[in-house]
Amino acid sequence: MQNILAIFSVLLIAALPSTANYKLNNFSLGNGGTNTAGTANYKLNATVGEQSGPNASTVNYSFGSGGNATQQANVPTVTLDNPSSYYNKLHFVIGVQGNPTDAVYAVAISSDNFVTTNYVKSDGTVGGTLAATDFRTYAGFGSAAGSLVIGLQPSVSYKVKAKAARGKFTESAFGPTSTAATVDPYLTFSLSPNTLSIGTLVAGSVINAPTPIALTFATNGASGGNVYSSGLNAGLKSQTTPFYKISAVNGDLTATSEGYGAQLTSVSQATGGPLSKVTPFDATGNNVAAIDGTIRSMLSSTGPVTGGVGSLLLMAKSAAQTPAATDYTETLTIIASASF
Amino acid sequence: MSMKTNRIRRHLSLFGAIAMAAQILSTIVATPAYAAGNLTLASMRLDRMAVSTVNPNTLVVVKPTSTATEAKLMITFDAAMTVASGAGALTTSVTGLPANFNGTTLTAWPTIGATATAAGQSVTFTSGDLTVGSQYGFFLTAGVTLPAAAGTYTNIITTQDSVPTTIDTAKVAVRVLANVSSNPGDQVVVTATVPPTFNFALSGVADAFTTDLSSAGTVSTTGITATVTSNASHGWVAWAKDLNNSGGKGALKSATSGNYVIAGASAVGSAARTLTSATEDYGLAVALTTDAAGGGTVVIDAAYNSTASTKIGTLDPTTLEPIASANGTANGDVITLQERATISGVTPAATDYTDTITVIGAGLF
Repeated sequence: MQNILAIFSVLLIAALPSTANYKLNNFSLGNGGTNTAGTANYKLNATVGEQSGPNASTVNYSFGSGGNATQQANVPTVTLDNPSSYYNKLHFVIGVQGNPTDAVYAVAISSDNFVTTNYVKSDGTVGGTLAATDFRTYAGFGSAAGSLVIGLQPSVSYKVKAKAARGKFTESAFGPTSTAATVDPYLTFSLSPNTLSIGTLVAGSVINAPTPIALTFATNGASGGNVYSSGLNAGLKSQTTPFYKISAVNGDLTATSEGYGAQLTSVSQATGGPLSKVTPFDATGNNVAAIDGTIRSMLSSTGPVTGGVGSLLLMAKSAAQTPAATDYTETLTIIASASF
Repeated sequence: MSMKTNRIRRHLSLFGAIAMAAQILSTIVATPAYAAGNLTLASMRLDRMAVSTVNPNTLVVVKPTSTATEAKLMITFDAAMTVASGAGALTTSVTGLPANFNGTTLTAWPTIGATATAAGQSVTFTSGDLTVGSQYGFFLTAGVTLPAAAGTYTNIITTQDSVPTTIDTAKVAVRVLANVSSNPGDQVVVTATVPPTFNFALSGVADAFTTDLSSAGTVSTTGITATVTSNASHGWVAWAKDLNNSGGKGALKSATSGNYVIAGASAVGSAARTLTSATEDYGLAVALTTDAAGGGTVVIDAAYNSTASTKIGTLDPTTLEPIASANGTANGDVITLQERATISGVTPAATDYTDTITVIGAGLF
């Protein structure tokens, strides 16, 4: 008889509350958690009497059961992109997914679909370990403006994913991945025309070339770049006896009897930069900068530039005694470089 | 276990070892996704960007990121670039480096190897240690030829320690420009024309003797100046010819005295002479008043050069005779023309002694 009662008692306990559609798998009057179980680096958030499985999940969603799952932060998202042809960094924005403002996030990054996982460190670089200091708040990651992960390689596709936490025992799982790729460093540059006649000089008058030299410049170099010029003859030189030269000069052609030089009449860019005139090529009026045998910077940018355009106007003035000739010539070399 | 099964297992084991070795090798060779250190700045400035340029003088600039001790610099050129393969074919220099680059002081690369020999597209120079925070540069002076096709090309700059292990690295893009109508794409040929000009101006058209002619001495006219401004590169020449002909010599003539003439005493073309009192003589004296700076040198013709106040040359009534010239451009050269005469005691009195002198000039372009 005692055995029968014992079996009945077990059956009573096993008969869990249920309806036609739902069944409460487990319930208890509280767990036996402790905050004293742990080491210097780890602590155990333990519960007794609650089941931890089964793990219900799909490709995009997973269900964490048990008390730990309910206290975890919401799984964040992260969006990775390359908005400015970056070759050594990428931009990302954390999606908080309803987490409070004091939640902190960590971002993992991989170039091999997380066969190897690295982490975005607190200074934006990439490292193989994730330290507590690498967790940052949404604001710490730049809020909606986002943040940059730096130290990447050109032409590599990266994936990132993020996780969130808010205090001990709240760290979420990593969220969905986002992919973007760096590009190769680039420099584009052109000049036009490649031949230019200033025309007939009039003694005592400053004569402008009929058209400026159009310069285009673009680079994704993180430190920008420069456009330089130099001149073969350091002036307009006649190729016949007595090989007279209208010398390249710095300054106001109005105040000189004879001279030749250039000024940048305009400069602009589509994005970035800014692309700026370098003194003395920023001269105005009849002031010009000399283009001689020294390679000198005319245009400069300290950051990436797209759609950079400059107009270089050549100006010359002859004097009454400037020898007549139809072959005054200068060969300008105009080059560009970028700093990556 | 059969022998066949053992062979299969051995093959699988061998395959696994090969695969593992390949994976290790690829890890070593492949560019890591996260560099040991990206150079803080890296740049290569070609002094010529036109296609197929041979040995562009290339300014190589870096700012190191890592503090490790550099001992080597490796540059891997884009596959489209031609890298000279001869021993020591790549050369460097730190002479003539610009004082700054991109707004930052540029320091000569310490003990950069003067030459190096390429291995394929890569070349490794010896290098001194670089200090983080400084910017270093050198010129790669020879050993590279730019591609024949325009475009952006990517080189890799890598600093290494003595092992060599990579310290910092960066990819650097350079641009190569296509030729335009056979002109190099990185150059602009600028031309201009200076048209010929010649300005020759006399200060007046009448020039009277300052006093009545006298047998006691030489009397001169006030003088007329001729000013020459010209960009004729070979200079200019001025000529004179007078109206009154007395046996092939220029002369003052009085209509009221029966067309009496006071003619030059010497033949045309003789060296300038000093007039003699109480002897009829007449001629032209030319003096240099201004030899304007910056042009040619003015020379007075010896036949009319008035080095003293009494010298003259005989005017030619039939042919334009050169009186002065210059060997270059003129920005206001000035010569002064005076007529001088002496008479004898029997020279007929008259108030209408006159002569007309034609003075012309031309530029030598």
